[in-house]
Amino acid sequence: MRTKNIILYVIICLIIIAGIAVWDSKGFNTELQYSSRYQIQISNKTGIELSDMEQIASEVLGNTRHFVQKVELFGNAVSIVSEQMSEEQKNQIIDKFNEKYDEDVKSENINILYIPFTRVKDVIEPFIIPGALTLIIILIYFLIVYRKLNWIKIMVKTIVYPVIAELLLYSIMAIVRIPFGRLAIALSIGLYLIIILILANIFEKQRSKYVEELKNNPDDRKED
Amino acid sequence: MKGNKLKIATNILFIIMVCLISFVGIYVQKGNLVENVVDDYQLTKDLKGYRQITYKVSDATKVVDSDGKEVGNTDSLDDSTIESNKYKKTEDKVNTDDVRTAENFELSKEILKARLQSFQVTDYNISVNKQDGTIHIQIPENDDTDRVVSNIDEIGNLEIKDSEDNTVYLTNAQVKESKVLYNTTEEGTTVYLSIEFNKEGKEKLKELTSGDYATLPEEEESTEGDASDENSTTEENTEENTEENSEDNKEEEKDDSDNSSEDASEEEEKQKELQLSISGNTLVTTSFEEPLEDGVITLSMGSPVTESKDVQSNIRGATEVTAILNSGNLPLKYSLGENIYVSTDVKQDIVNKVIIGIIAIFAILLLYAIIKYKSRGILAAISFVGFTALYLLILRYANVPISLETIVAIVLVSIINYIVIMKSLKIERGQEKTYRKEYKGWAIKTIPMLIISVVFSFAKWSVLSTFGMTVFWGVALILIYNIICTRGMIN
Repeated sequence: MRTKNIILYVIICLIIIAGIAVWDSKGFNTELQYSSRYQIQISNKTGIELSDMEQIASEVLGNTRHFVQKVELFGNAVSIVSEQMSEEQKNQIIDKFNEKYDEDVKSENINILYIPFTRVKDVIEPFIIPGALTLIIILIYFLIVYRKLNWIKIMVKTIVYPVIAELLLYSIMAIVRIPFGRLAIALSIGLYLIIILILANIFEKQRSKYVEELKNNPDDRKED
Repeated sequence: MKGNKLKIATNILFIIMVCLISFVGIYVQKGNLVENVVDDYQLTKDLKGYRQITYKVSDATKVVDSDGKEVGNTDSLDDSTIESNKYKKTEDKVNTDDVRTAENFELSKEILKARLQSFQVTDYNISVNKQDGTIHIQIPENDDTDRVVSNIDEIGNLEIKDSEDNTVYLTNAQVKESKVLYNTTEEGTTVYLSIEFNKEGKEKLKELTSGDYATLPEEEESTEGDASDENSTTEENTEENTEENSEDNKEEEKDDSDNSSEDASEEEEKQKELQLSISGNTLVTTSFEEPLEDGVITLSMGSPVTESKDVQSNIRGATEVTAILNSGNLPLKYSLGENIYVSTDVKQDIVNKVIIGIIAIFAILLLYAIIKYKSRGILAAISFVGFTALYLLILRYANVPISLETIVAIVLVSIINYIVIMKSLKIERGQEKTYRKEYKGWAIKTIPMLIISVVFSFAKWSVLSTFGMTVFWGVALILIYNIICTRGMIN
């Protein structure tokens, strides 16, 4: 059991180190919404089907990351957002659009807007203080409720486990190049909750075991 | 035995009813339409849509009047206004080249971020182009979006200056804090904007208000009021010229407008006034009857009002000013570029596929429970479905906005509920004591989750608050629903 645990810890450390190395060299693979991107907007008077524009965008932009979204509320304007977009590609999109909808949109009337990336720091910054605050409160809670157990182990586990779990998640995301975005943040918060629940489970079991032992051997008041 | 069957039947009927309400709805005829009266889900910007705004560093040039005094710029004044008022465009840019630096671009972004938070906009994306300073913002679309968009790009420079020669005495650098206050009297509620200055500002303000800008004493009524502007009333005053100053020997009683302009100008020169302006808009021009020693200027935002919507409107106006003052003044002038509503890039069919996937996984898990525990497993599965229906209904009525984080929280809570149900199934029927002991254990284990959910619910960041609210309702429902409903059915 002890050997298994050591192997597990070593693997976790290696993954985290590898993750940090990948992050340092390449950064995260951020979702297009958070990456630098180019955007054009096309509109007409009659209405535009999103599926038509998605098809046109796929034909012109190919494997480049992109998405198409409706703009405004009248169903006659769309925005095409892409990781890369040249003037030539823009012209091709407009030509195909004109062909599809029998329009005469001029290429010179449509500009390619460059939107810079959103820093990952800006995205996760609002999580830091509430996360730290909850960790402190829960640490105090654990230390009070499970005071009969080894308080040093409780403190170390409560602080280290969530931190290691988050580092592990982000390392895996960096190594496997899972897009860092809105879902990643949601998973990160969910993971934090799960770890705390697991810790509560572990401590509660240890306390139950301690209480049982105390009942069976009332003279032996030993701590874990 | 019969009692147990009745209990189970009642629970099942309750679950069916809740499922119908939650998954189908309650349809009521309203006029010619049939409407679902059950509240719909509220969606956050990630799932619904958002406002996309671009602020560009302005290339406008200054506009001056015939006296050479700056009256605006080419962004704020159109050509017809310039022509009709005989203003002149200059070559001076409002944003000179030396302020167009990467540091100022980054600072502008941070200030806009602070202003968004002051306007209670917590769910935003913001990025800055370090080459040309263009700032892109995405914020949720709601009733306040237009107000936010029109206010956050104000330069926000506060100036307290001489109303005549425009000598600036105090600026944002001396402002410590600004607040909104209100006071209710018989006449109504008056909203105040309170600007507190730091130590340096406090001393300067005291010096100004007790010195040159103190209201001149009304000596024998002959100098009452300034002849400078609004005073158009004529009074018959006795002539009581008792000015000490030789320069003031010419001061006489206040007459009608036929008084010599010389007298009027001399009175004007005497009474100096301070002007307080924010972003070039003058809020007040005044002298001070008493020196301001506490370093606080309090301005009323309109007259007393009694209607609550008027009070709210005044408070909102004052809050906009404080949000701009407290965040600092923008080092650059920005002009609004793009301002459009964009629907979400998360496609409905992808959301549907994810939901179907989650349902499929839970269906498999429930099937396992049914196979393992047979009739009790079936009852457990029914209980689980009822829990999900009730949970989703509570989220709707608790106005918890649905976001990607909420969906993750709902899945987590459902998994925890499934684990609780499976543990209940392990306890044989009738073992009340064992059940109570187990239930107490689960309750204690969920306390840390409740702590996290409560703290997150109060976070300003909507990502955390929606997650927190969802988990809070979920955990509370697990504890209550399982003891009332699930236990009655399977234990």
